Amino acid sequence: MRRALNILYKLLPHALFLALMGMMGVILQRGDRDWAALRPMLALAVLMEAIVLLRAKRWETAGIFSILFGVLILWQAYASFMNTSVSFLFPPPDKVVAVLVKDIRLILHSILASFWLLLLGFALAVVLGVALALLCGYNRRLQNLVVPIADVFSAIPALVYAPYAVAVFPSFWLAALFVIASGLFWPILINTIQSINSIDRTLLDSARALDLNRRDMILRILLPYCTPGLFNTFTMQISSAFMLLIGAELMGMTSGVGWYVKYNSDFSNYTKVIAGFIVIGVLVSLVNAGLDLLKRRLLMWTNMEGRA
Amino acid sequence: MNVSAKSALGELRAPRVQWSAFVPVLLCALLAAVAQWVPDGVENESHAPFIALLALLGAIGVIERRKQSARDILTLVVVLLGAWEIATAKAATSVHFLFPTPEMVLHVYLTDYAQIGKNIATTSLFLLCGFISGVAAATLLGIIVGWSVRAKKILLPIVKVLTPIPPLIYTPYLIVLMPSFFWASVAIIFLSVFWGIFLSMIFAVSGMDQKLIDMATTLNVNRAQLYFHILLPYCLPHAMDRLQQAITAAFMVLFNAEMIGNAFSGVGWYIAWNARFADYTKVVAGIFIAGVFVVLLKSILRRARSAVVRWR
Repeated sequence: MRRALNILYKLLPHALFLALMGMMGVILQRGDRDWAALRPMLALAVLMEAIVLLRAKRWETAGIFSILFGVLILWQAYASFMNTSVSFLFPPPDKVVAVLVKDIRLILHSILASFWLLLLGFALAVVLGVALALLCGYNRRLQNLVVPIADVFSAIPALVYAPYAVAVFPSFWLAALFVIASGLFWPILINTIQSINSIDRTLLDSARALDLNRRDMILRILLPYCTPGLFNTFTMQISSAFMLLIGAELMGMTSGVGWYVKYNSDFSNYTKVIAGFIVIGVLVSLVNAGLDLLKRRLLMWTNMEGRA
Repeated sequence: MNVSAKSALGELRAPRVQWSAFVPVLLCALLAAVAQWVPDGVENESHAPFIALLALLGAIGVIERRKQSARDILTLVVVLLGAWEIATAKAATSVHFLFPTPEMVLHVYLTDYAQIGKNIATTSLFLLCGFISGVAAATLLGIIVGWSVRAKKILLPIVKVLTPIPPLIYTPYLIVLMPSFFWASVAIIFLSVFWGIFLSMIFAVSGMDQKLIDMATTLNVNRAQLYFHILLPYCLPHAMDRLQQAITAAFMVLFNAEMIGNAFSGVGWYIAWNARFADYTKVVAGIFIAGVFVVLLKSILRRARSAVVRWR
């Protein structure tokens, strides 16, 4: 019995793949789409099936891809067989995939624009936040002043003052940069101060005993000490950074992934809107994976950090 | 040392006035005097609310005079207020439409309080519905999925991709898809809260001490008891830790939805609406309200956390 269930489980993604292909065949037969329009979707399905075959040894592959195929089938069935009247609001996946392939240049351009803005905002927030945190780590009174203020400000979502920033700053781009940087600045500041505070007192004392000057104390002791914690802060803040980026782009930018979604939703082109969702999901996951990899490379000495 | 000598020493120490203790109070008084008697360069509202605010700050300064950090913060606040007052009201010759005077902003609260109150009520209602449903669903589902090894193995990769997608991006789409703005907001807040807590619940359950589970099995607990008496209390602190982050995200998406959606009430709408008419006095007033609102919410959550999670 158990064996039979197991075999069924293993076969499920293949069966669903065949069902999806069959559905595509029906759509072709009915003449809703021609062969060229359906090609990207077929390619995607075949690619997914190839991954299933390649990673068949892992137990969870079958489950994951069963869910993905299942979602695609339900989505396709709902959008193209049951509810054709609202298909502009709820476009079938084959159209979304086709748009992804067709619009690839614009999408890549948007991704680059988003990344540039994100990177600048992030860098600005990190440089300012870490610098101030290091000063706070050095000066107790400054720290007591800054921490309550930072607590209050980190609670306030930066998007709140976005409309005002748009009015005050000379360009949308600068306003977006300000919103992103200020939204990241406070949490980074707090987390860095906390990680500096957790430093072992004896380390500081021995550094003092070596008669280090203030510069060396900050740059050689405090900064290296808080680097691993800083990385954790980055990975925590990256999702909020994307949130701010999208918010800023929705506000009125003229480039970027968020703009792509907003622009197309203004024209009620929901096929492109959903394509934009997928692009952002993939993008954010890639960035997260990249950061993870970087962390493991750069901070090899912190073994405990990798496990979560 | 005998008793009288001791008391004499005490007397010697007691009357020593620390002047630095009264710096914020003196600054408050100074700024109030400047606001009242230095003539305005611009057409301004009444100074009374501003002076009342300074009196409040001064009173806090007197109460908290022994704490150095409180003094520093108050000093900073008063200096910033003073810079604002002097730059926009005293030194300027006309009101810049982007930079209202503090008196004008305070005047908005005194005249527009009914509308602001209504907007706060709307925002709170939306936030409450979306937040509670999101947190409850995420906690329960997260515990169930985290407990089952197989479900975790299959769902985790999918959830990991879905979690970091900023829910803001769904806003324009959900506003069209949902029957009313209320449902759209609740759905967006739900999405913004759900994934993060769901993921952290899964990790919390799988990181649970095996000994605890073994003990529970020895005591022969049934399924329901396992979920509600062991897993839930174990995971609750983790969920509560996440709430602080979640409420900021929830507020952010709701706010954004109110700004770009077809809402006609709410704090975000108030700011966006007045920004559209270039009434930046009300925009600044709204931003302060939003800030105070979130800070209060967060402190309530912190209280709730220590009330609910007493065993930690």
